[in-house]
Amino acid sequence: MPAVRKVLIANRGEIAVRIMRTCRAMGVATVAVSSEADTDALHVRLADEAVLIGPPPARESYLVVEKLLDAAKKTGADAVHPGYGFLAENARFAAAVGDAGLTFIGPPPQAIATMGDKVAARTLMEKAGVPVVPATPVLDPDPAVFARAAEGLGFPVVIKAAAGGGGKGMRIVRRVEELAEAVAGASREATSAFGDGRIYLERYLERPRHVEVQVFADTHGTVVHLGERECSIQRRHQKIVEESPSPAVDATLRAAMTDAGIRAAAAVDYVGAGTIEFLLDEQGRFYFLEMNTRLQVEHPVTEWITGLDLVREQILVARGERLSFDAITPRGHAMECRLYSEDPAHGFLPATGTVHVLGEPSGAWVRFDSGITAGSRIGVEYDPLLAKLSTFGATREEARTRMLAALRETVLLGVITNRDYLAAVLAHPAFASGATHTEFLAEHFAGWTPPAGRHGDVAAALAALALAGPAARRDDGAGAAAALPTPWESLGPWRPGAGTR
Amino acid sequence: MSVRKTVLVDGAPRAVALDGRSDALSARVGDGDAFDLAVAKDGAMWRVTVGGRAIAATVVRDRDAVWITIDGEIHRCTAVADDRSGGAAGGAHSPEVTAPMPGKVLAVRVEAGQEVAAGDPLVVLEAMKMETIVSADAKARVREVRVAAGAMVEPGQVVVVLEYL
Repeated sequence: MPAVRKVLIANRGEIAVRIMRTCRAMGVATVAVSSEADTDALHVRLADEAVLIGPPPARESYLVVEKLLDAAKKTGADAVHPGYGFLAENARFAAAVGDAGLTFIGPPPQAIATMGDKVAARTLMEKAGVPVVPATPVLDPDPAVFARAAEGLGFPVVIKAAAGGGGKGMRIVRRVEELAEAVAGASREATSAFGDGRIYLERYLERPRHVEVQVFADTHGTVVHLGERECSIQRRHQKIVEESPSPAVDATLRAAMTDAGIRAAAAVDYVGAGTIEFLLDEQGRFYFLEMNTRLQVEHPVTEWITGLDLVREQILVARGERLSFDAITPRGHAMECRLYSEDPAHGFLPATGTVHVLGEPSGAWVRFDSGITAGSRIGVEYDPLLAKLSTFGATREEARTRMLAALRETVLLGVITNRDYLAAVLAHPAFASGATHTEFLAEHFAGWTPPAGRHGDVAAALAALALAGPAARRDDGAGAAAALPTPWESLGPWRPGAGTR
Repeated sequence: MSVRKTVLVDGAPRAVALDGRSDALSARVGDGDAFDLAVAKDGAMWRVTVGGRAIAATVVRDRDAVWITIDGEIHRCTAVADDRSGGAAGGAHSPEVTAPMPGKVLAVRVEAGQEVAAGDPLVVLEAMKMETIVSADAKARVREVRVAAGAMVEPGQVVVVLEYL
């Protein structure tokens, strides 16, 4: 049995920190890796040892398999935890870790590879009796052929390009009369975008919810579910608010979805923590979307409602032990908000800067998973996720209001974040009522601008005071404490583009 | 002291007038009512009294911005140059095309002298795994390209200078 006494965490940011905390609680030693941009980062400071693995760009550091394996060898680590993102769903990395005689804390490479191939995954899921979105094979671009197929699937339908991606060649069709033009348009667009005009038809789901099932499997044949999470609040297909249980899932639906999740995991001989993502339509029908063969960003909401530490279970499974539980008894309701360095008022453009002040929320049933501290530099190299805030309550409403209070306590000065946007989402009546779906933000929050706040005028006055020139300060006459301390003045005046040509 | 300044609070312009000493100011913002304001500073911690009520604020300055948190609210404030009513250089319909975000120049799609139409891509930027295309907002001739592929840019930095046709 592999021992797992010293784990190299092949990641950075909040997830590296979160994994290290569990390792420490289990008496497992930790090795951090860092790029040159992260030498002072929280995950480096928390680790027992740290290895510098290269320049800031991830493809020259966090994504270089040989450097990670060298770091493991050099430090005597016996296991590697990939976190999420970077190499977490790279089957070749998982295999290389095993070939180097180390334990990969994650599923077998074959399971990663199968689920990473969308076509293979869909075929396998159909065989395992997991529902997939009804679709046709590639069809002749003949309106009559498409009309017959559409009748079979039921409107609305969506025409998709076989070589597709990024919405190109896609056409949503609600009535049979629209088909002829849509077929011609989609085929033309697919040809020009991909050099491949093949198209097919799929049932279109109106305003679906994103509901996923957490599964866990050990090497003794046990496969269990840990309930569902709803992650419908998404911007640009990226989740920003997650919760468990889903307000749309009752006991009957939960039984069906978690059964399907277990069947999906069993079908790929899964080991470890995994997530099966489904789309849930307004009629309560659900369809397999994909399986994430790793720990999810939003795993804390599952930890809240189950009382488990999922990283601990991952390590137990990697050691060849049994899961510490065989079924869960979920209780209460949990929510998570993702704090991103981005500007929701300007198309969610990434924001950068230095974290000058960080106020972390705390209190009963509040958890803050963060990879930053005051002084952290937020650059352009990595994912803009700064921290995850999660709350728990006996009811959904209790978790929601607790989240609003905790968001207010989450104060980051120096970098623009989506905090106020998250608060606006949580405060929206449609969210409060549980009427969430993947078009929620587009429907309710297009053109959002930051709230003026109750103290906007006072802030304006304070800012004017802070920005007033030395002449105004000199003739203030109010005593010694007049000058605003500006440690950053030593950086000199800021000019756009200083330092570049 | 007497301060007359237009401040952008979270992007929205507010005209501020302050008169008196910082421990006894009369403040007026926009066309709102004047209010009494007193400020006692201890480093970044400011004790603020507004209309007789004390509130703690944290105020830090970072380059051209002042970040303020007060009663759970966060406001990012920047000065508007006194001789202009608008925002920063560039912006909407300006021949000086600027980067909307910090990042790396992935590709430059034009060269000096070239004619472009509205919507034509000029420069492709990347930050945090996201690509953004900076495009021409009107028919123009490219007068100057100020960045090269691989360069890092700051928000507001001029990347291309156009000459509208």
